[in-house]
Amino acid sequence: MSTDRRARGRAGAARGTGRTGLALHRALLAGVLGFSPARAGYALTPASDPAIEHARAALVARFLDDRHGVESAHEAIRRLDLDRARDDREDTGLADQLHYLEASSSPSREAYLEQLRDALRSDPDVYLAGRMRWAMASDELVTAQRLMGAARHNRIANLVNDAARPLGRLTSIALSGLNPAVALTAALDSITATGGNLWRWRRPAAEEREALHRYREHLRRDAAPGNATSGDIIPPARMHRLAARVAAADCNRALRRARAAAEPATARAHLEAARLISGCETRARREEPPPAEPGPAAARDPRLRPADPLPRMPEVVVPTYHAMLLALVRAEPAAIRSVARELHDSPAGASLGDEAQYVETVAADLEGRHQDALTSLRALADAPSSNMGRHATELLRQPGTDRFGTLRHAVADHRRARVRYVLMGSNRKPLGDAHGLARAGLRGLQGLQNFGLFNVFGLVGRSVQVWRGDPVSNAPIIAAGEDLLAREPGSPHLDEARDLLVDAYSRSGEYERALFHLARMGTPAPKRAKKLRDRAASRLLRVARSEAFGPRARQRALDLMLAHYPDTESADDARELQSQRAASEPAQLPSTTLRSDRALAPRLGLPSEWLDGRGENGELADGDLRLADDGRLLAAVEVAGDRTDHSLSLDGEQTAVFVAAANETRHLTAARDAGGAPRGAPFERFLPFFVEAASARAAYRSFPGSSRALCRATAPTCTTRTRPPAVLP
Amino acid sequence: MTASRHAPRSTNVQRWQRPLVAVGVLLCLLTSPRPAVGAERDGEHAAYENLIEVLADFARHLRDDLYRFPPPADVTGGNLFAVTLTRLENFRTLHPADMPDVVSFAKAEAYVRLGDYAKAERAFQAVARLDSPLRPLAEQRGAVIAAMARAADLPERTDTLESRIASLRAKLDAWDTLVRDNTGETYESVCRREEERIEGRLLSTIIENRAWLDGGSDTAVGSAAFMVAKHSESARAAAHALRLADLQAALARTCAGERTNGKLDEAAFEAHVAAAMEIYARIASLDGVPEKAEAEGKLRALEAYRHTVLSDVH
Repeated sequence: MSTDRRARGRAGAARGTGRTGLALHRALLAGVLGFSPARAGYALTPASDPAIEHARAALVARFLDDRHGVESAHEAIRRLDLDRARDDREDTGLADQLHYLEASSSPSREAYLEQLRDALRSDPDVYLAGRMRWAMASDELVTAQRLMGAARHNRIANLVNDAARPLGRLTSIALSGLNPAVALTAALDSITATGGNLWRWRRPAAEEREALHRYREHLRRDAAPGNATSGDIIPPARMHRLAARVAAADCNRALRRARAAAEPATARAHLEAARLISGCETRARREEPPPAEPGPAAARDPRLRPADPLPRMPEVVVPTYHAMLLALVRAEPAAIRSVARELHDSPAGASLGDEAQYVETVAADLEGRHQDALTSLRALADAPSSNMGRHATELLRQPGTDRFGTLRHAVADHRRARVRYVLMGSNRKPLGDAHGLARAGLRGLQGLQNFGLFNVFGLVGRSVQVWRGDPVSNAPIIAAGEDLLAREPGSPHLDEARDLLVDAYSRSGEYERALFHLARMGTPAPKRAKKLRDRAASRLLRVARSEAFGPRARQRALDLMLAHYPDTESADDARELQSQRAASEPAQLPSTTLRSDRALAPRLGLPSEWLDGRGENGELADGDLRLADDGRLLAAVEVAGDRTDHSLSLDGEQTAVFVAAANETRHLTAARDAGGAPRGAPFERFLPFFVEAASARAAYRSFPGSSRALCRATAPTCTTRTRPPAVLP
Repeated sequence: MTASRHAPRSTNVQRWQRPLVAVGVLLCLLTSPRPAVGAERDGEHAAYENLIEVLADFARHLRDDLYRFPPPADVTGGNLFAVTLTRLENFRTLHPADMPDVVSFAKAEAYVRLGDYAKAERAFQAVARLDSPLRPLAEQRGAVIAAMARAADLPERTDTLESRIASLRAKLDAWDTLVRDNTGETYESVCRREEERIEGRLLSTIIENRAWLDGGSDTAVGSAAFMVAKHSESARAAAHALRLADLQAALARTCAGERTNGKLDEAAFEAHVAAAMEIYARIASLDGVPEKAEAEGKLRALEAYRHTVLSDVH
């Protein structure tokens, strides 16, 4: 408890009560309540300190479920504090704690929350206040109410933002006088966005789903008779309406998934799940289960395909044709080629020339001459009117035929997607011609808002994103490139393919794979390798520093970085980080703890003159005492302004005491940091305004006065800081 | 008035800069984190303040139904009972002679909720040896915990499958008796949770060894379905359902792997897949359970697997 507060408490006691008041109060407590720990029956051997005796009596009463005993001990501590205030001594500091203990024995959650509110009004220290606020905020109903408030706030903010944003652009306002199209398109944008938001208005948000879950948990938990469902905090009718909305949304989602399922079994599973949703059974029954046949699997079944008719040919070539088929079945390239050549050269087989050429193509492919086979196939495809020409065209369209071509197409597609992203702000391909035209038209209209500037800010922002990190997926390039390398190890395009793969892996942040392919390229590229190594090391270092990852993952990243990239630019920073971590690992005990707990220093074997307040004989310096790896205690001592480091040997018991005290301090600090922060002004939460920024790697959103969230692409969840709820009326 | 009218204006901030400064300050105020209140706990009774705080939170959750709900969380997010135990041990180390009855009693209760019944029994015995108002309660609870410790100590044999199943059944019977004896008492939820845990272990044994049991697959599916039905009120109900779905998916994979002459028993394969998918889809539609994301992923994975298997066959 702070000295200020103790002083306030003393001043308040002296001002408010006075000597007569104190006497009266004591008489009331001792006479009317008639409490003493001994009377309550919890006293053992009286402790030297009555405060500790009362605290113990309260704890014993709490475990015996004797609420009256806890209240009596609490009153006794208050009385003791008044006595101490009269004698100009500091209060015991235990009254607030006992109030908290008394609250914990409340018979219902309403009484518990009321007690906590009451205890908070007495201005407890920051640790206890944080714990109380946390306890109130973690109540299921209070959390549900907060979540529903946040959802409502977000919904209103989105509606207002989306309605106001197009109308409020500076250029729109300035240029609307010059060009009425600007005002028109801005209004159109606003109306469209608002219409969309109103259409989605009743769709339950994630916060509302969480609120409903917590409400139901509360009902399950407090289902005992006598416990109210707290309609004063959340009206049950409101939750019933929310439950209906959630059920309807779940039903829609399950039915949508069933309709979109690729396989009938998946659709049936979603329909079965939908039947279990409240109010969805009828709708789910109405949905016809997709037929088992003819589905995609049936279409693939070769037994169901019609047989191709045999080509017409003169009788004389039938034996040659038969021999060619046999060679094909045996997959013997030399025999295939020989028979095909024979068929090709015979005048009677002129009508089967395309077939013979195609079979020669197959032979070349079987011999591993993929390029020759491809050239031949392309030549065949040049005659699209023939059966073989159509077949060759179809084959060339299949992904496994021309693997390098597929890779080049993937790279070209990727380039187009990047340009599309920079110019139009979306890397999604249009769903069709109509969709593409509509989207281009909409972008064009939006461009008009800036009167020819074509939304320069957005363009520059997206260009920077493309430059700094690739917003378009590189997966098709990687799949095509790896397929080529795996299936055609003798391809003449290997180096080119590896080159494209290095770029693709580098853009997608997989620097290790990029280095792998770079090392296998024919021509060495030391500068490119160094750049990639630097980037890989830098990324690992970012992980090692990021709070979004756990301590093990961070340490693993640091170890990997130092093991594999010791010669990179980031290596020095990593070594420094490693040394800092090594230094911060041992148990630490702040010197302030030793000053406040005078019994601790003798138990650790510290010289008494280090804590006697006189600088000339040495005084413990501010900072932490540390336990070194060899079990010695490291402490800094100041003598007349000069600081010297000391190390002391500790025995087993002293080490245990040091570790326990250090753990206790660490836990207290963690609890204080995790506990609820002081309450803010409630209206701030309802400012319909938020700030949002996003890049390829991270997104930041701030609802001023309410919450902030930072989402990183590398982290599984967003880091969110939320203002404590303004739920207390 | 004159003097003030002609007083030199502030040179630090020009007039035109003032709105910008005001907007900047406003933005900083709106978006900056609130400063923490700086106050330390350094009074002569600081250790007891900590102890009371810890035990207040702990005592509030002593009546929690640990079978139906997950264990309560501490302010730092950890398991409240584990954190309480650590802090009680810290207090015992730093103040070995202070409040031995309270500390031992609280430790015993924490051990019970963490499932370490032998240590709980010893801690209750320590309180029963003291001259404390907690002594009768410690003796009474110590007797119950002694029975629980005996049940927990029953051996789980591993020499043969039959003996392992028999030993787990014996242990389950012992816990079942304890559940019946403690119905409506303090430790009912602890006994039910322990019974559920042993049943889960028995089910795992059956699932892992279903190939060596007569009708092992049917027994495993029946046992898993029984577990789902029996423990539908448990905090781990979704986990049980997920396990049943996993079992059905594993049986589908076994079915696909045991093709003879390239022929797949499509009806059996589809039945297992459909059963697994239905349960996955049901869990995926639940809110507030950690298994939701797992079920969603597994549903997609099973869908892809089914597609692969059937593509291979047709």
